[in-house]
Amino acid sequence: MATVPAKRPGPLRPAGIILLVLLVLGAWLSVPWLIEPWLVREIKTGIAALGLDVSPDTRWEVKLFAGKVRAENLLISETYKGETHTVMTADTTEIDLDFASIFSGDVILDSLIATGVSGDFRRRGDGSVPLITPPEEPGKESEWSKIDWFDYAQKAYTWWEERDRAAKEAEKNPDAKPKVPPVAKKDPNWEGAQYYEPVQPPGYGPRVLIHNLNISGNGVKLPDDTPFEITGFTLTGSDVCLIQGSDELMTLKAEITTAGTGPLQLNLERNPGEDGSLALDLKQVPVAALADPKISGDSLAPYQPTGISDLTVDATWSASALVGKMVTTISGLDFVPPAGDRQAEQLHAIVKRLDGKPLAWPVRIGGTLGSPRITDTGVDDLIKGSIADAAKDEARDRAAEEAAKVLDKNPELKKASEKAGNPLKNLLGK
Amino acid sequence: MFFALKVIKKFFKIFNSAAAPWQVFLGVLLGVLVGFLPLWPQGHGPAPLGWILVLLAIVLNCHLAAFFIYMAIGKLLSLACIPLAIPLGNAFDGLAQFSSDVPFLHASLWSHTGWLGLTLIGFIVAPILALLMAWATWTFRVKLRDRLLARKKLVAVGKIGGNAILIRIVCWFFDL
Repeated sequence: MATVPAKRPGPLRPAGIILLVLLVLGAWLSVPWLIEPWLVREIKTGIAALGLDVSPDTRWEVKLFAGKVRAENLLISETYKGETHTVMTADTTEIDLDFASIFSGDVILDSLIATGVSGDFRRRGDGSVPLITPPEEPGKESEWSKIDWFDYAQKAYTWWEERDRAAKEAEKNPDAKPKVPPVAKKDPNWEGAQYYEPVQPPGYGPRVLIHNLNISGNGVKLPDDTPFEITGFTLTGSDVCLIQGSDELMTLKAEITTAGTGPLQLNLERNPGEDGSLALDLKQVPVAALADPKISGDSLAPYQPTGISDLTVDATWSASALVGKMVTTISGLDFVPPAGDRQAEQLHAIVKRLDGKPLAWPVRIGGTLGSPRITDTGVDDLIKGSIADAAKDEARDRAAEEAAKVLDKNPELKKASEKAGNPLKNLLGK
Repeated sequence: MFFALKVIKKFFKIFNSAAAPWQVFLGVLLGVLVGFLPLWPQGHGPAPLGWILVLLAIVLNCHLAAFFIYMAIGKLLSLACIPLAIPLGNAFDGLAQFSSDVPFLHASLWSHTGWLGLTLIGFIVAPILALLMAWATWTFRVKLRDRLLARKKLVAVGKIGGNAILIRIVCWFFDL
């Protein structure tokens, strides 16, 4: 009987390929039962890593293949020194992630929609502010009125400029990425071993872009109870990002209502060619609210000013060169000059002459986006306006008073004056 | 004891299996590498290189028993090599730093001096063991198997009474 030669084994295992297909199929089928609940746990762990807790009543829904994360009745709280504080709630929050963007290293959201959002940053019992508690000695509170927010804003802008420059450089020459040595860390599970974590050079990192932004809320409690407490807001935008692509036109619109002031409207437009415009309109701001020590420290509070202020800002920029105008219109201005402050008393007399008439103060701004400066203080316009009339009236009254005093002291001059039909008084209008 | 004997029997059966020596070579190579390389170590995520090797062992027509046995041997060897792995990994500090900038290598823990040391040892040990096993398989099949079978036949007819027990044990191990 002839023997059949043994079949030479092939390079691939047919059963292994079938097993691999079954594994992939099993993994795909297990997504709703295993992967998506795991992702929800990862989200909760990520929030917990920030020192925050998510309410167990929050309903999560993750659709991996659609790239969607939805949370209903979201409630995030923070526990600090045994004090639990709800910092954020939202009726619905929905994030639609462009899944492919993850592989390119960017974070692109097709949409970020949240409704019924509210925040609470009211000070804790010890005076510290939730979420942004500075690491300082216990009992030593931050003096919020003395924080140089402009300095922070400039630093943020400098970072953004560097990031933008690096992104453009990387686009032109992908190999030009500067090398930054990785950070060495000890492995707590393996004595003597260390591992290296990569460090992104300044200006590099993932780009965040939101194609459709729509957030509306019921209010935000600020650290202190002031008339600026936010009672409602809507934030809408398209292609919202820091680093802009060449085909992205960014728009951002905010409408905010507060407890004690009129509505605030903000419109921002950014064109890809570093051109843009900003319009801000804030109505009916009580001057007394601005003078609150919680807002402006001790600079205005001693004068107890009253009145209503409207503020409009219109600015445009082209290749970072900024041109704009900021107009403050104050109606019904009055204040109480502190006793013994002669300068304040004089100013008060002029202000009284205004008799509630609106006082417009236009300030022109220029410079660059990163370092805006006032190109025209607007004092000339202010003096030429209603304050000039008030000052003129005040000066005339003062002169008349002084003249009357001189005449009273000198009877001969008084007689001569009466004979002449009191020309001095006529001249002065009295 | 019996389990240990069964495992040893499985090991010796590799030599007398229907698999070609290259299949044994591949099974041992992948098994030792998977034994030395991280798969999902504590405090880190899944290491892609280790899992790719596991998938390769499933898809490629390697000797699966050799893969699993040598994966266990590789794991035991890697535990024994830990004191050697750290100085070796530290000596290749430049490679560890470079790997931190390559996402695939960073995720495969090449930027971890301990795991990098074990990985390098694995890359040295795996081909040596694989070549040894392939050579042993070839030698057994070409030079030893026929002689053992002939001896077994002689034992069966009672011609070599003195070595009968030894021959039977050896044949049992090799599944002859």
